[in-house]
Amino acid sequence: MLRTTARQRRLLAFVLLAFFLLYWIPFSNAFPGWVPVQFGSYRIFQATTIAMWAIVALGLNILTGYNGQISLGHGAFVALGGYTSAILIFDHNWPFWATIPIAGLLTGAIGFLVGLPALRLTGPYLAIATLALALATPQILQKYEGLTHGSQGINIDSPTPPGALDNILNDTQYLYFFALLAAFIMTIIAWNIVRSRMGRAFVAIRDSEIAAQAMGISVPRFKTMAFAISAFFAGICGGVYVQVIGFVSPRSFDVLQSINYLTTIVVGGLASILGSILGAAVFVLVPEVNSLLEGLHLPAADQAPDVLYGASLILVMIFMPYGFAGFIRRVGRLQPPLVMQSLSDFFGQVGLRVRTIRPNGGGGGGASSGKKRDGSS
Amino acid sequence: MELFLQQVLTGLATGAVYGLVALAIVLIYRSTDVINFAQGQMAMFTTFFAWMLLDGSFLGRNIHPLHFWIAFVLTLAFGIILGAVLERVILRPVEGRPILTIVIVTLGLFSVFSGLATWSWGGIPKAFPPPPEIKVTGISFFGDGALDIGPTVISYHDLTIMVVAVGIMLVLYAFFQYTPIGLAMRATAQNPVAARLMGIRVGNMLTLGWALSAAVGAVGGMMIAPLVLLQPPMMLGVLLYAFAAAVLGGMDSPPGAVVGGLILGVVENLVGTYTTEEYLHVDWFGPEMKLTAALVVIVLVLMIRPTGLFGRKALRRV
Amino acid sequence: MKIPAPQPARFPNQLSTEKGCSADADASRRGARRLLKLVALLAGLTAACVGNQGDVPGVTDSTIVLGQHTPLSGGFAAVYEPIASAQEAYFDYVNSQGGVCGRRIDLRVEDDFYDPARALDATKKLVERDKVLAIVGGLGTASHSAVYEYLNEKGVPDLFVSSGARKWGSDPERFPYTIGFIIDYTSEGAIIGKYISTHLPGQQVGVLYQNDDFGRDGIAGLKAGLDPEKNDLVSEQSYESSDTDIRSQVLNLRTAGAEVVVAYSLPGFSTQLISGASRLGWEPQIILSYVNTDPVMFKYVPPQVMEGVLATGYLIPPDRTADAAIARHRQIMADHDGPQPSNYSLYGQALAETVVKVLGDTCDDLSRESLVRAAESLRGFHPSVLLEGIDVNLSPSDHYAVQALQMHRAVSGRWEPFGDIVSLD
Repeated sequence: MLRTTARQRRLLAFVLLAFFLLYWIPFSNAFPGWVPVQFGSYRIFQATTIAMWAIVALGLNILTGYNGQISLGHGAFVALGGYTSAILIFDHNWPFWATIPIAGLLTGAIGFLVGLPALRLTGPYLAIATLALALATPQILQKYEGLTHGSQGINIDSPTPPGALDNILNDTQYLYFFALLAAFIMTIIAWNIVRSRMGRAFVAIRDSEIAAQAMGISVPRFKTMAFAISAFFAGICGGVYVQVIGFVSPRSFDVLQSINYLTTIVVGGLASILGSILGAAVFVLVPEVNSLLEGLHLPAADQAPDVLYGASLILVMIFMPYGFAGFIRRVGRLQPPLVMQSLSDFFGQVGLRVRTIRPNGGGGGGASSGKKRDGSS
Repeated sequence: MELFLQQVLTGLATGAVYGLVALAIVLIYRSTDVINFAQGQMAMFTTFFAWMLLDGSFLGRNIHPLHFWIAFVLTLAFGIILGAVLERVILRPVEGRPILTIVIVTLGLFSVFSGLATWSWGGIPKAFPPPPEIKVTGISFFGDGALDIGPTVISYHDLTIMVVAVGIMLVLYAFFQYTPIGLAMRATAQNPVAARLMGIRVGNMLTLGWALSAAVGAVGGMMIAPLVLLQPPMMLGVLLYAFAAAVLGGMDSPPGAVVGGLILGVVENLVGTYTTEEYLHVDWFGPEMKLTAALVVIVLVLMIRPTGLFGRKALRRV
Repeated sequence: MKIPAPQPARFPNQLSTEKGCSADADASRRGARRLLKLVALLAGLTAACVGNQGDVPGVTDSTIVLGQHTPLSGGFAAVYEPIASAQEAYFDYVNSQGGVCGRRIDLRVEDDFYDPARALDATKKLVERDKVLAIVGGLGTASHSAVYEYLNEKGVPDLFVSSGARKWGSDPERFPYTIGFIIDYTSEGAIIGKYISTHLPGQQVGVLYQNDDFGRDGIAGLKAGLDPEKNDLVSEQSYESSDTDIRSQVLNLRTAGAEVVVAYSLPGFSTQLISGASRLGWEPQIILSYVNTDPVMFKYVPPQVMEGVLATGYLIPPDRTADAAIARHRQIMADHDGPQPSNYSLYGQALAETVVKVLGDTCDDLSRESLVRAAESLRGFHPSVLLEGIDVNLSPSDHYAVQALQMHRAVSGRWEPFGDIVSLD
């Protein structure tokens, strides 16, 4: 047996991943046909969209998974970022790469403003208020057609490789690297946030606002920061979306999309960087499952997509309540059970009208472990 | 003035519809802390069941079309069973899981019911008959006519929906406040451990919550369907407004749900009528911003009362 | 548990535990495992490209592969499903008669979830994996807007878009591969406007419209077609497709004094308009958009209440069972697993017939280029289920296929076409 250290194994894994993402996905198609698992241009496009959706998933996970504020309206922020980028490119001829940070910053600022009234809202109240925001956004986008070009939407040409790279990369590959770079940067940022003092403050607030406050954490400041950061991520995602898809309209980011973002991070894994990325992968690859099943020619294949999608969601939640990331962690026995516990305790609190002292003392996170809905423990 | 009164009245009628569905949502929330996203589709599904009975085509076989009220009662029974079965089979395995997990399960149910309804009955909208007229001591309920109240007109159907919504709300209120089972359900929601220690069958209470909610949803669906066409996406708009209404009124308050619905219905209509250029003289706001106006109303109310108009403040002792 | 042999400590906290790992090595092993799992997951979810490699994409000796993106799941799928089913049924019929150019037509329908991003994904899949010859009948304005630039870039024929937006035919120079099918909402609105000014001069007009591209295009066209000297537009009432009821809007239209009401609304809401007006004892002349000209409307509104309502249309009423084309349509749908006859199924067949015609014209030279050229050469082609006098006319500068309408009137529970064919060709 080869003797390797942990560090060497980690390095190997990293190198393999880098090789896969930076070389195999974009270039494997050029290999002779007998080489397995090649990525054609369609698959490269899918990988591009996974990278794109991972960005908003990361942001939403910071807000909901790490900070415990449920948002059903993040489509509004993605739309804001997308439109900012599209308008700057279409009406003002900005270069596409410059519009992305602007989209993110503008959306982040709006997110901060949204986070202020959100301070007073909890659980389902916040969720539904953000849902209403998602509902109102298409109306607003359509109304101000002078700025947004109304219900026709805005068509943008996807970025193409500049002269220097023209011979090396085709359009699809260029777009892929662009999205991958954006996702990589945002992942690093998210990673750093989560492991920083701010990230720890987020989690502390999630687990017990009162305890956090008692320890000197400024709850209002960090909660609005969380909103602003997640909106920033969503805005970046919107900017990337415009480059990848090439089109935005008021209906592009409707309520269903916003709800889908939440589903994505729950299925992928809350409070987890890996979970956000996995969730994005699942989100993009759902139609693949449909196609597979359609190929089996089951009865009523026409309506299979909806029923199967719903059934899969239910099954995943029953068997993998902490999402794919949680499942992988559990299988790899990575996380000590305590972290899972506090996650479960927190989410047991959302919407709970706490009236009495909890049996095990303490507010918030001190609830009895494994508290089940029917009272048994 | 006449227009104003009529719009308010019509708004109350539409609002009663939102209130009915909001009631169902609040019911489940009160007993299980779950926001049930599948509420609308469950109501739609049970309404299709009713349509089947009324149309005379039960499960593909031709039967004699049933009288409206018989079909109504059968549908209620179907709804109760559906709700109970859902709770036992789907929701029970995820008891105690993080709340977001359960919410995703309801989203899954949403898709399942949408697909099942389309598969069973197709996508082409169907006409759903309104309940036939009943005369009780000279007052007409349902039917095609309309009642004149001063300068305004309200159809009997709308009037009855309002009466039904308020009636169910009162019944539920009395149920929760004054009956042993209602008390048991409230206890279960508040503190399952203590409730169990008191001898309450907690599992049964949860099932009851879902069953009741499905029944209320079924009533809502059958009341609404004659106004709009019966099709799988029928309840989507109502559902969103119903959530808003529940939040506006307080997620744990049945009267709040109905009042929230009525308020939203009226606000929607008034915004639609009085924000045109001729009234408001601005071009950055108008009737096409109704949903935005509703959002602003909700946020404003929640700023003042963060748990809704009638919601109880969450007391936390540390 | 296996106890490892003692190793020199590389890290200060590398201790042997019962399970034989230190926390540090543990974490990184798990990290590596996690990463490898991710890699394996992604790899496992992909498959190698398998395309049918011919010289011309989508054409083999025995089949022609076409693609379509349309919503198959989600709320709207149910409404539009008959269109795709009808096309499949018709192609099945054609295949049973020997196909076209001696080949079977294979229509691949991909779910786009009524979402632009997914529509692009579905279309790329059809073009790059399934290597279709052409995209036909792409459905949905927003969905297709994300897709048509890509198709033109790749030189894929984008035939007969199922959407009433103007953009499909408005710029044949920049988008030579895209050809619309049905008349756009703006043109329809203009036709309605002209009709009102010609036949109902002096009457006040109100509009009910859906607050999206469908309604907003329609009202823009209506304003263009109305003669301001003859008719005043007194009220514009909008609604959202997510609205429950529109009684408020109906009330406002009446209060404003509208004598003619044009409705750019879907059947569910048109129904409410007609019933609502009737209940208020108000009888304006109601004119509906062509999406409403379906016999099923008479199931929603009693025939006596519908009497006299006008609408535009271009399809033969599907309840004219004595009509040869309708009888044939019903037969084909019944024999080949098609949907219940309705406007949607007729539309689907009309589209399919046009596709077959265009394919048939290129048998000698089946390619993407010749397909587009053949489409552009269609003059006076009459799909069997369109009203007499309404034809498909295309040219290199005219990329709108059907540009004619006929007014319909509700008479005794049926839609009766009357008057002249109004054409914009």
